[in-house]
Amino acid sequence: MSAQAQIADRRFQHYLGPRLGVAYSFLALLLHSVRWVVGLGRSARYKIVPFIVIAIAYLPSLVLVVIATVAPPGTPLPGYADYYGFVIPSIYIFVALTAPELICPDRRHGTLRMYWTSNLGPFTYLAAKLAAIWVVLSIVTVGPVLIQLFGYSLFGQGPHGLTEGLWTFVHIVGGGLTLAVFFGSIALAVSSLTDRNAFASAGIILGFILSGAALGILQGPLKAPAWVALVNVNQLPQELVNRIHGAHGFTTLDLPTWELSAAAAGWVVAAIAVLAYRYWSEGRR
Amino acid sequence: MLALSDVSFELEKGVTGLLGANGSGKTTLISLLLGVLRPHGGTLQVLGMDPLKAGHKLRQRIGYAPEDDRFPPDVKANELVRHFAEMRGIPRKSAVVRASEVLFEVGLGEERFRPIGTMSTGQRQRVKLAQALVHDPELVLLDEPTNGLDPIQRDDMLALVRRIGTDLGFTVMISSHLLGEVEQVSDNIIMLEGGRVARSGSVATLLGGEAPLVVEVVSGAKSLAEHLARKGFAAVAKDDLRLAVPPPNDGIEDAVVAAVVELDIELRRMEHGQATLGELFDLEEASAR
Repeated sequence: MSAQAQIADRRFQHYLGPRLGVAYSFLALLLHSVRWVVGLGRSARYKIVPFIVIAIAYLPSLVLVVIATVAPPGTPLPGYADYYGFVIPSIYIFVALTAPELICPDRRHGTLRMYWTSNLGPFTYLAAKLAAIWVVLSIVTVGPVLIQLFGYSLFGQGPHGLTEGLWTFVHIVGGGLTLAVFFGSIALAVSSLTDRNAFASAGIILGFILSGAALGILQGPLKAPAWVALVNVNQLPQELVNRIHGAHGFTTLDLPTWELSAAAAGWVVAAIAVLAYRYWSEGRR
Repeated sequence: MLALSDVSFELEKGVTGLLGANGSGKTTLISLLLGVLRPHGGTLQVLGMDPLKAGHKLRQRIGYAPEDDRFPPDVKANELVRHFAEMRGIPRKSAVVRASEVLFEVGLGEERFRPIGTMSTGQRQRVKLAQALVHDPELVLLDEPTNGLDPIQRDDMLALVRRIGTDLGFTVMISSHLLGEVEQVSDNIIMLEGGRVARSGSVATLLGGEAPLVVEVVSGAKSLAEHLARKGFAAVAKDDLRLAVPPPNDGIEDAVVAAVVELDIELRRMEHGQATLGELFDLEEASAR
């Protein structure tokens, strides 16, 4: 027998290591959820659609960078807020795909009760899912515009100086996060109303489209007051991003910035209230 | 509607069977122990803590396997078990290792990379068991773990539960509506009826004491029981093949022999002390009447 030979105890070992708390499980669920909806660690069929939509969202930024390389300095190029005009349909599709996938399977398969018996309760679970949808949406609301900023700066079309560059960076991140939080919260609230991904996705897309149509009717034939435009979940966050970047985009939303901000915050709070109610009642079953 | 009332018991080390018919309050009791249901009154102490106040500190010391399938079908067994280890506070590296170890322990070593949706009912039950054990809890609550299993899978699962409660040293509470199952696997029994504890104690104690006489016949056990009852013996036949007579039963052997001759019944076996818990409970009820 060799002198290095060892006898290994292969019996079941009890766990003697650390047991971490709610914050760790919250982060673990957040990370798991982000990976889950973009198909990481899952079979190829779950990766295809998210990656196509992400690619479509990034494509205009790459085109703009290419244009910046050939355009003479000073040539007017689309601004950072203008970018969302190109990709807003991709963002809608992305949010309509990802938000239901984040919470509907757990409701459909009854996995929620398993989470209630872990470190997490209904509200910590919900907070992790909200954070996850915001992170996931930031991939398409922040990432492409940062590439646009980087490309513009590299080829002399970007902000001048470090201070202006940093401010632009802050505006881009702030604007992108505004869209992610706004669309993500509402889409998750809609998704919490059903166990079926398809119904939730249809509801999200219809909600965004119908709110624009409803505004047209209210402000057109019905001659509703200007503040009614705040019900338009389609244009409201985009106009807010325009304001963050110091521009005015939609004439239908010619309201003070504080009113737009309050309305957007109201929408997000209402969405979180719907989610909280749904999961509070789920936790009492 | 009152699901549970006046329930009081202490869990011992080993396997405890929570026995009761459907709707008797077994799942409600498990939910109360886990702190996911709030009782209308009374106090509850689990591992020395109040489930409603202790929150995750208690929940990460309990393993729970639900009655029905609660897992997404496209997730691999090892990923699911690892994920729920993390949800109960086990750091990721340890969670990966423990998920593999515990899946080996429940007999899914070779199957651990398979999506749960492609597994048989028996394998899915084992995955549920694995996720309940992965964080090395002090108390394991198994809600009807043999649901949907065929007889062979059922026996395998019960043997596994028994091993977990004895060889691996977990304190296990297994709920079931089948007395035979609970008797096969448990050291102790808590029997719920209409939301109350009807009986509780160790299986050995419940089965111990003076043994009843058990009589097995080819057929006609019911008419034999009626005949013996007319002679003053509290005989109980659950089916037409087997009857039991509780103590005191002096002279019962002679009475049985005389009865089988008189009724022309073919006797197979007659001995003291082979009654099941079910028969004992039936006998108790018959005596009470």
